[in-house]
Amino acid sequence: MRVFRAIGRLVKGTWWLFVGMVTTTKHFLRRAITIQYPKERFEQWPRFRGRVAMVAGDDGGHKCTACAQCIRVCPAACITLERHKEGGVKGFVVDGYVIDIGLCIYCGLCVEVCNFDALAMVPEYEMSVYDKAELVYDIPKLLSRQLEPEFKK
Amino acid sequence: MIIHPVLSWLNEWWQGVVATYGLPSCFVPAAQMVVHAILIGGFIAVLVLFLIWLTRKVSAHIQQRFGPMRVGWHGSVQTVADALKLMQKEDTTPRSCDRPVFNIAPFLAFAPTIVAFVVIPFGDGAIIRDLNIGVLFLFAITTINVIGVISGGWASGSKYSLLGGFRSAAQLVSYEVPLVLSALGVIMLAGSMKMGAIVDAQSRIWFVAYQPLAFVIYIIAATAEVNRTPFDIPEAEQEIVAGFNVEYSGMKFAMFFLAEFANMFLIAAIAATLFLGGWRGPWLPGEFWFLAKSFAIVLLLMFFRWTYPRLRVDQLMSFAWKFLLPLAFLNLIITGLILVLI
Ligand code: SF4
Ligand code: SF4
Repeated sequence: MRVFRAIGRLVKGTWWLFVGMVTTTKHFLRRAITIQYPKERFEQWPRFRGRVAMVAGDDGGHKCTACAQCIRVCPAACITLERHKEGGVKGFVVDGYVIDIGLCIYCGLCVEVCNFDALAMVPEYEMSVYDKAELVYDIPKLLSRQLEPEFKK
Repeated sequence: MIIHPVLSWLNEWWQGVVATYGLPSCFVPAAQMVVHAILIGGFIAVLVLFLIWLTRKVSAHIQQRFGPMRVGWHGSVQTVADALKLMQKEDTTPRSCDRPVFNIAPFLAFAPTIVAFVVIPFGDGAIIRDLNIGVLFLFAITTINVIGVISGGWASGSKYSLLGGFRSAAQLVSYEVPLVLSALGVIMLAGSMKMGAIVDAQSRIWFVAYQPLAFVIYIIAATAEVNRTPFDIPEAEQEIVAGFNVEYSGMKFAMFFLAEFANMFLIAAIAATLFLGGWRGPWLPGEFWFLAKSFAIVLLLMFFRWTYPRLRVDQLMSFAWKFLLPLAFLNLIITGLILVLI
């Protein structure tokens, strides 16, 4: 009896060896799924959350009101805002608004917290530059790329 | 059919040169040996470069990747770049090593492989020395590289390489037995140990048809013999880093690497010669058929590597002694009985 059981196990084991080889061959014949990165890029989703950008208002300028909520919430502390009070104007006047993309962790909290829809994340992820200074984005640079209208927050 | 005329033309040309300039006649065989050595060396170098590329490509495609793609067409020159890089590397020697043994071990591991290529019939007449003890010579010579491996492991002065060397020695010695026994069936059928005679005996039917069991045993034992997965416990990365060659770097590591890949091809070439009819095949030149059959076996070994998980040390040993060896003896007895009765 033990002999028969052993032979049975032998046959079964050999069969599974064969099944394994068939599986390997199947995968071998399939197309590779690698994307050859610099030559080809993957198709981006329309709402891909890449770097932070400023949303243009109706007049083409930014919509920031200098409320500083984004600065308060930014965990990487990469946003700097310059503002001043002016008589006769409600709230603040924005003098400068800078995001250091090199520090940004793409968390999206600033976009979330902004009450005036001034910020958004755009599908842009290749941020490498040769000079660190180029990673500091000021208002014109932040406004340079816009989302398609239907995906505005 | 390709190599043989070229070689004999070279030989005649050189004989002419020797005769014209009145050089001593011992220059003729000497030059012949040099030419053969260069041929084998060149063949192994090109072969290993190609095999490494092939391994990387095949393993990548089994995992649905591309493997090397940048250097040359589909990464075909990648291995050349890697080899150049390896040559530039610093040749480190660990402080606790046994220096002379450490230095000589890679050559001990590599030299037998070159020597073994002497009796491989690449095509019609394309065999360097058709010794009348061809198969015996082959198995005797290839066993020597165990010494290289174990002395490399011992001399490194590291526990991982020592373990790797021990495992390797145990494995190679135990799998050598079924390997030779499976080849013995073929030798009995052919009635000769001469590689040429074995190929000639298969002019009608390949020996794999007469000796299917021996072929299976041979493939299993050969996989173990060249340390390929599922029998790669001497270099089991997850357990002992890389086994006997952990401490090696630069050209000495390249030697071990070269030996490993050349051995893989060698074992496939022996399988093709003993079981698959050697260089015999219709229409195309013999060299083509020989390479095609050998590479089919090499591909099989590569597929094994990506299909089967590694065995444990005790499983490996009991498989060799309790299963393969009796099976090999059984095959031998059946072959003998049939030969006597018919
Ligand atoms: S939260 Fe919006 S409005 Fe407020 S400072 Fe930041 S970007 Fe400007
Ligand atoms: S995405 Fe996050 S880290 Fe980047 S600027 Fe906005 S809050 Fe700061």
